[in-house]
Amino acid sequence: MKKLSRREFIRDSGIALAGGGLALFIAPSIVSSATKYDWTKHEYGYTIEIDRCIGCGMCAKACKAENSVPDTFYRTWVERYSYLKNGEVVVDSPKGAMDGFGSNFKADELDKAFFVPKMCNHCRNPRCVQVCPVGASYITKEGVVLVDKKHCVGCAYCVQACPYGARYIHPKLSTADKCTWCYHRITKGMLPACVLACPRKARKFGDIRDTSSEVYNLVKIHRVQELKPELKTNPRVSYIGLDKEVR
Amino acid sequence: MHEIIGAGYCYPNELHHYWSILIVLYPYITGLIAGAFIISSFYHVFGMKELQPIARFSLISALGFTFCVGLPLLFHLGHPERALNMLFTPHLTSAMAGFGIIYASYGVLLCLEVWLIFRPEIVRYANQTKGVIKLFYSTCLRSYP
Repeated sequence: MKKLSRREFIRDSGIALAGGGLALFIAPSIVSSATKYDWTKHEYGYTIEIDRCIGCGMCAKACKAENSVPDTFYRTWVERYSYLKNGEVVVDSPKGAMDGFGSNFKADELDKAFFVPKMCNHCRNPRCVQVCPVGASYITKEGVVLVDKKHCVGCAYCVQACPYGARYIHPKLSTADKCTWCYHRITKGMLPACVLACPRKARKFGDIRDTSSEVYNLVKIHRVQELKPELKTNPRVSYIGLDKEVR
Repeated sequence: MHEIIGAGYCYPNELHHYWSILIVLYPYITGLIAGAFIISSFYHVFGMKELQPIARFSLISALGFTFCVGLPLLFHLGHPERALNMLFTPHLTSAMAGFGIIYASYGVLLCLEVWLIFRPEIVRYANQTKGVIKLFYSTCLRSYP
């Protein structure tokens, strides 16, 4: 083995140190540029295909588990609309459909029945944001309606104002709480828990600026409706196959 | 033709009620303030002599109730320690924040009116009392003991 002279040792050590330092300096910036999330480059939308929903309640269960939603409160739930032959429509959502639905009417009494998943509509013109006295409710650049839990005073004005019943006061935090479209997941490129859990793919989530996204194309191809259009809240959640009795 | 019958269904989250007796107390006290202020104004502004005996008392009642009208709302809040956020970071499209500003302005107006109406008493107490009470009334007169 060749013996290194002092001069060679210092030169090689310098090269090794410079190379290592350069790698340490560049590597994080390469990693962060690959994973860096820019909220100005997204605009999210959510589409629900009514005909696909079987009322299994997996979405509600997944949401509870993902977001630690307290008992008897719901960020998402499923409603059942039962149209009877005598002209009545009966709506129910036992435990937000967490355990699915049992049978409620005999087959010969029913005209038709279907399930409607519900959640925060992330309105473009949200009443909850309008009425918040301290500005704790806000819309992100991507169009997601969120609550700043460190600023919320817990007055429940937004809960009163939401026409979709999507908000509640968290019993432990004493602040307003609601569906965030799993913001902690979507900003990492993942899907919301409810979308992932749906076995029939009734729930679709995506970037509506991305012309290749499923949500963009579903809205483009189908006739879609929104809940309570008369309120002009302009929701970001679109329904395919919505019946006029659904409210 | 199908029709939803009765009011048997409400959204699962709406089974919880948040706005109750404390919210009702707020407009009730507001009504007391407005009534007391109007009675006071009948004499002080419109010169109705019949109401002179209670004009000053009703004005001071309005001021007293103005100081406590926010208490039911404060006890209603999930985070009462953040209540002043409504004044520090008001969201001006919110009626609740708007009323915070209106009530603060109304409180200032009432204080000014009480200060002017009760000025003879303030002068008298500033001259006749001693200690902290004298300091308070002297300060109201913008002078020092």
